[in-house]
Amino acid sequence: MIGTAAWFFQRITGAVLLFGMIIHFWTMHYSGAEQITYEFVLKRISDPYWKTFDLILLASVIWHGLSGIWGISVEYAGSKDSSALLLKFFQAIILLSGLLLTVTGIYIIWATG
Amino acid sequence: MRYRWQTGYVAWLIHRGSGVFLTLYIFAHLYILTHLKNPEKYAELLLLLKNPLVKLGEIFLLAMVIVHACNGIRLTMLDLGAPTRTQKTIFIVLVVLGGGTLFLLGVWPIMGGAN
Repeated sequence: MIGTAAWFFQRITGAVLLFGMIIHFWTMHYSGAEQITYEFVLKRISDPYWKTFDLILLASVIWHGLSGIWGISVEYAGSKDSSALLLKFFQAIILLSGLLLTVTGIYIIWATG
Repeated sequence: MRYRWQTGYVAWLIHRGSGVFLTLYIFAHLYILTHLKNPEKYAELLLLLKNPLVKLGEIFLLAMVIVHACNGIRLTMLDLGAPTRTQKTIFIVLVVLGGGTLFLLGVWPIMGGAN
């Protein structure tokens, strides 16, 4: 995806991540002494509200990160004739990464707790 | 092409570098979480967090997140129409004041201060 749509989605996911990361970080490091234990993490990930939160954060971070990498790839490849193949290569890696991260993330959120 | 070390270029470079780093970090983060079904293995991985080098890595990670977020805010402000001539001020205020404060707030619990 390029152009205005890419820019727009990058803004939206960026804003979600700005607030999401603050909450994410806050709960991991500020909610009490020595709480980052197995039980604590499992209890949190079992909560349907946290599951929803995690899913939104997961989708945003995968989109934002890979869309950014795609932007860099397009700029790096330039507009020469030879760049089409290179871009296809980058595109394949990015799509595979997105698939891998999405499947892994959903597995973690759904299968645990 | 020859680049000049101006605020916009430095910010652009930092944004790219931190962005690539953070994207790669998602892989490591999710990999560790796939062990959530196995308490022993997970507890073992959590012990890594007590390692001083890993703590240093966490602080670096936090710095990357803050710098990327602050620069993202700056880019959004410029997009929304903040005059370009103010971009250096925005950069300095966000990174030094905002970033510095957030960084200290984050380093504190990582070093065990909140316990």
